Amino acid sequence: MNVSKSTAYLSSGQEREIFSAAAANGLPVLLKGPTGCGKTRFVQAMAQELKRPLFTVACHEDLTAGDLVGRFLLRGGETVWEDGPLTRAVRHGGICYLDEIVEARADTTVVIHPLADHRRELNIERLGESLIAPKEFMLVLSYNPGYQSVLKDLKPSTRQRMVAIELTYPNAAIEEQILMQEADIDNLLAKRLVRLGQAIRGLQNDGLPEGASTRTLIATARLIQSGIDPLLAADACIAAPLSDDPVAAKNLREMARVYLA
Amino acid sequence: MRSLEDYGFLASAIAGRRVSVQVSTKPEALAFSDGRAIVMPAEANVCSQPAWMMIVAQAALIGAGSLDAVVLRQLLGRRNLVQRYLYLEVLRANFLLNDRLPWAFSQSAVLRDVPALSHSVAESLACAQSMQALPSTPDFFGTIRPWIALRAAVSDEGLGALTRRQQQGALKQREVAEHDEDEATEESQLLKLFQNPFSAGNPLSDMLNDILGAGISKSTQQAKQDGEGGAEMPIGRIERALRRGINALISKRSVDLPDHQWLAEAQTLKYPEWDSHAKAYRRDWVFLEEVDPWRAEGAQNLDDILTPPTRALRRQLATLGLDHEMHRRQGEGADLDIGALIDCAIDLQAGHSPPSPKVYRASRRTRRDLAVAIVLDISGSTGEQDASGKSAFKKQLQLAYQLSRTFDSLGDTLSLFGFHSWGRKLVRMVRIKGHGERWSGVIAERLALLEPVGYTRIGTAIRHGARLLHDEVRLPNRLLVLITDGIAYDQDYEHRYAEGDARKALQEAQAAGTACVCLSVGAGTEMQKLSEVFGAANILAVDEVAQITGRIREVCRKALASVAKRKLSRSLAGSDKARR
Repeated sequence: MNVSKSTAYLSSGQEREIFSAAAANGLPVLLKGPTGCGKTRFVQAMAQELKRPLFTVACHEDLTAGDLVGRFLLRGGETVWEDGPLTRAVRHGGICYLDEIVEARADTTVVIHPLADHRRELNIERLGESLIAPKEFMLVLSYNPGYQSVLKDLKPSTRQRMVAIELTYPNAAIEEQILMQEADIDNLLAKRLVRLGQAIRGLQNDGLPEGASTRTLIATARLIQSGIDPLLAADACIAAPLSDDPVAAKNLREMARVYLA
Repeated sequence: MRSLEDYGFLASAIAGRRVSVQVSTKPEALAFSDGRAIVMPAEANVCSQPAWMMIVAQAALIGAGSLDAVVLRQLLGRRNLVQRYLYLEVLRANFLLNDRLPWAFSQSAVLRDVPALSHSVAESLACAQSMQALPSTPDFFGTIRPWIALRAAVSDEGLGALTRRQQQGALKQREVAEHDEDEATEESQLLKLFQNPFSAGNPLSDMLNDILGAGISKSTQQAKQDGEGGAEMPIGRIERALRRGINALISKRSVDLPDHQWLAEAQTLKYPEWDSHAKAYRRDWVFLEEVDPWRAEGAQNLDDILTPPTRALRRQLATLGLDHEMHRRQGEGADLDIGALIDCAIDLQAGHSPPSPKVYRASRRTRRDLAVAIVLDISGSTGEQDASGKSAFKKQLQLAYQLSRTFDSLGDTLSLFGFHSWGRKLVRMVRIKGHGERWSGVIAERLALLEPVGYTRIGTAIRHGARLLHDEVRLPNRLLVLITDGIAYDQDYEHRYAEGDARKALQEAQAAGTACVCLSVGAGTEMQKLSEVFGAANILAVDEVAQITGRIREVCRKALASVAKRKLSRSLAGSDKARR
């Protein structure tokens, strides 16, 4: 377990080592894991550790190749080219982080293919330009296998270019440490919150679409630390966001009452 | 207001599966569980610590697998042993599930720093039977009622287990007048199936003897003396089903059982069935007819059920089955729309002002191309009422109504069918709304004419629904929604045979590019089997219709995505071959 100074990230496995080795070898990385388990935090921590700028793109279904690479805009009576985040990352030798990559359309993700293999080049067809990525450039994708959208999944040809790192919710002991560190709470409260989180994750296949993530637990802990009543904090950060169903929310509230008692 | 029922999630989270919390109507001193529900004493104070502590203890027992049938049988009628076993098992569960138990529970005076004394149910049982001194079991552990837990297991099996035994010849049967096979009508055969009386005067004890093995009858007597009512529960179900079945046969209009010649001429569809024992299809095995709804007692009043769907449900389903479409003249977009750009340039040159800034082309997901068939189980078993007096049938109707209204109003192609059957010669698809039909008040009227009778031949219903979607609707995204209360039961159609056939029917549908999901409302017992057949991801089981709102999109999306993926990989494989 190492803790870096500015953006803390507590490893649960060998993810740091794999990421660093991939970075050293110019290989792209695919982070898999449920929401709020620390994918983005991990990338930020690694970018700091490797001292490279980070270009984050939150992918969505209307994201096009133009959004990534760049496009002509109209300015006055003329068209002006503007670089997209991917192009900027290549030009500056940074880490380009495509968050929730499955949300982007499959034809969009194809533009990263030449960057993700031995060529390491970006073809900007509209400019007729081809950029060779510097050594420092790195591509990182993240992806939540829990929700796949209709007709969308990563193409096998995209997946196979990646070094995949699977992140999950940390185990109880590590999660307690994370809570204590992030929200500055005492061990007893951390223990209670973590147990509540673990129990709610057990409901996932049954009552809820998603379990309580580490992120929600941290948020709860922070609210409690700011003087909010623990039950109220759990309600605001866990029960209400997880479900709109009044019965489910009521049940979650009762769970919080029991676990935080 | 808070009630004990709100602890359902707590119990489920700890037990690791769906468990509900109920309040006993009888005076009970301690909480107990039958493996599906935790029954709390009526006077338990909701706010007091012991109330939830009991729930946690009981749920932990379920989670740790303590209510094991083999062990329970050994515990029957031995109160002392039960308490010792209970103590050991709670300790074991506390150790096993520690990460997800409430801190206050694990730190209670009885459990704090107490190590588990056993590592499995068998060890606990052996230890409980030994002379080892154990502290007395605290009240908040509740208790174990072996008889009730066993009975729940039996009623889960219920009708199916009974019939399986019967078919294997394991049940002794009284002499029944034999019919000549050739002369026998379907009706007499079917009636025979139900009328076969069992040897002893008490069918329940016979069945239990068969299912649980010998040595139980003494405990049966004991249990009766203990006043544990409702002992006829499993057989009550059978009797109800039987009565409904026979009523259905007698009711002339509702079911005129056709004979073979008539079948050949009439507009009857034939479907194959998969024989999982022989590993082969039985061709033209099932006869299916599409009919209009009819009900002996006339239309029922469904005003309380046919409530319009909520906006939330509409929002959920609105994003299903959308495809990309290029939109011209957009304010923002990835590409310039040359036509619009030229217009803009002309406007500028000509001095028109202001020129339209909408000069982009954008691709947006707006095109709907989803066809949905909803297939509703209207067999007799759905008509049974639960504790609250509501039948699964009514809940299913409500669900079907809300879903179909929503899909239809979103512009999807939709059909709605009910299905039930009386053996392979008579599977009925009751047409409520066809694909081409427009929504009107007539459809609600047809729903009101549905009656829950007959049995469930699930495979044929899936095949028919999928065929309609495939042949009559030529849209790329096809979704078959099956609403049912449990896996198949019909004449010669149950257990592995039925599961095998249902699985096969699903595979056929998926291979043809139709996504299938199964929804179940207010029916918990058979979900295990259903999820084996459908795959856990394609199933959504809830207690109340409203709960479906938050989750239906994900289930449908996943089913559609997996079918689309399959299609994609097949077309890729095809183009690979062509290249070679």
